[in-house]
Amino acid sequence: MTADEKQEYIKVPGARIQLSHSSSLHMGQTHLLKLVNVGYSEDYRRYYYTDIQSLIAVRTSSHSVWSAAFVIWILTWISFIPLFSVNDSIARIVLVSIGGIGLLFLIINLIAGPTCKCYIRTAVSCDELPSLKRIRHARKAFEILNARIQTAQQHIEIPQPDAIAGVEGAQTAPQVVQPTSFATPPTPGLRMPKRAKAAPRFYNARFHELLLYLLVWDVIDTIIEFGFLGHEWTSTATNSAILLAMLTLCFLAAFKQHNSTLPKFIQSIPWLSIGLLATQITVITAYAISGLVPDEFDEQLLYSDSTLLMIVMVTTLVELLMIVFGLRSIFHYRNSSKRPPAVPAFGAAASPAVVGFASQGEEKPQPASPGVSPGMSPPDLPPLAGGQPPSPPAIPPVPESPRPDYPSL
Amino acid sequence: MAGIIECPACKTIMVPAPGGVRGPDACPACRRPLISYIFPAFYKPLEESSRGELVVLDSEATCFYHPAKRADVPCDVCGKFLCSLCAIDLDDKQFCPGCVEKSREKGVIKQLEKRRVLYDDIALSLSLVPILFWPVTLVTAPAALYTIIRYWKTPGSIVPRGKKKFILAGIIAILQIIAWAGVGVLIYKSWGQE
Repeated sequence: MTADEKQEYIKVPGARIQLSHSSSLHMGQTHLLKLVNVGYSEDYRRYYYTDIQSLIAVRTSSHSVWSAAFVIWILTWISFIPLFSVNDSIARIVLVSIGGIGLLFLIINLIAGPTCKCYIRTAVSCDELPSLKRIRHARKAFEILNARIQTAQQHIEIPQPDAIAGVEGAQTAPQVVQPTSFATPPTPGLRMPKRAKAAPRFYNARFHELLLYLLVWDVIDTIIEFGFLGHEWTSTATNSAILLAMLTLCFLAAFKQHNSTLPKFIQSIPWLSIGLLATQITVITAYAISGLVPDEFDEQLLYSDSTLLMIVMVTTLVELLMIVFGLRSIFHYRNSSKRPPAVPAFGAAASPAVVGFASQGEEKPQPASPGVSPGMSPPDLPPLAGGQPPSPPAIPPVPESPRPDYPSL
Repeated sequence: MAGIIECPACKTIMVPAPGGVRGPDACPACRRPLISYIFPAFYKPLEESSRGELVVLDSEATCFYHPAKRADVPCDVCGKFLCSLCAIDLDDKQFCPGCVEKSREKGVIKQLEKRRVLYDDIALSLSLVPILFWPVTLVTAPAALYTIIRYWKTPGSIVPRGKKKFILAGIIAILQIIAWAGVGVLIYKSWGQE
């Protein structure tokens, strides 16, 4: 290898390492080198600076998807903890460790930032740059490459807007979007622009209500255990079932409440429940791991230890508060809120009776007379003849179309 | 206009205003945020490729591959006469298609290299991985050493990374060979004592 060859390439920020292959970008004197390492060989692709037309990065949702996957991973493993007794610290350590791996990946993913896909375009190709997977890497790499490419292409004249307008009907093509202004300052970050938000929809908080009923069940279960009536095996199985059901309902409720008219307190119920569960499990696990559990602790009587008893009592108290205030808010919300007005049928207008709940004893709308709408002003009303409702406008009969004569085969 | 800007997500074609470096910040159709840079080559019209000039006079030299077309340049490797259609300009040198193909196979022209085998990685794997199945090292350690000696001068990765992997693989392979030699000496001595 010559001295010149050693100095030729400079690595561009960003690299992608996968099980089967890895890729990276390197800047040469005259070209950008895309390097893909597959097994024991390297494949190269060169893009000469003078040929590069554009570099584009588009944000992807992989970052959010992976974050959600890691959160589910952590919660799933932590939800298995109640299956094991408090004294079984090894099992708990193993479960927390497996969950901790997910937490580690979650933190790494959050630090690495949003993901994107980058493309390089020349006159004859448009290729993906797999090494630029994160937006911060893409931004750094683009800034470095921009300087190099601009220098290489400084001899190319950029035509003025007048010279380009209307060339080959570029702006009249069906898929072409109108020109975007370049006067806007560079984007500080690739934040998703706020889309035109849809109007909030009505949601009756059914999953929230179920979640609170489940909390009621949990409180009753705790009281039974507290009264030394519960058997260890049955109580752990019940607790695990409740935990999994609560997690499921929390996610469903959080999904359904999105862009709904629910008050903020009701919307916070799923998150409060998850937080309460996570805190309870973390505190009990930390207590079990810390070795503070007395030796004479009886696994059959879970609450013979005063510390555990205190933790459970505090949790139960918070659960009771959530149940009372949550159910009260939900019923109040249902009583006070109205359904969004339905789209009236042709010839009928929305009235308060239409938008209310039928179950609340409100009057059902009377069918309007054909051709008369309650919303019409008196001058618009057609003249009544003898107090009889006007007859609907006569529809001219549709002439029967003659059957086509098919040629005989 | 020669180039287009296409949203990679929804494939909507955008026509950026000329004269700028930064392209659109978001796709107007799917509203996905974009970072886009547009370079002067974007506005450069595509050049028409040369088709070679036909021979007018009988005394004119003709292309080796196209006898009806006038020769412009000779190949810098084999000397064949080439028309402007056949001449390939690489590194300020003119090549005929045959010489380009041969050069690509032999790796003479660096710009045409599309793939390289990483022998240092192979040697390192040969010396490290078989440790998990240690009896195999009796064979793999010499094989790793052979690979190192055989391909020491062969160009490695196009991106410079030195000979560290070769050296490390060599040290591990030599240690394994020494260990096997020690085992051999011990066995020989035990036989001698018997």
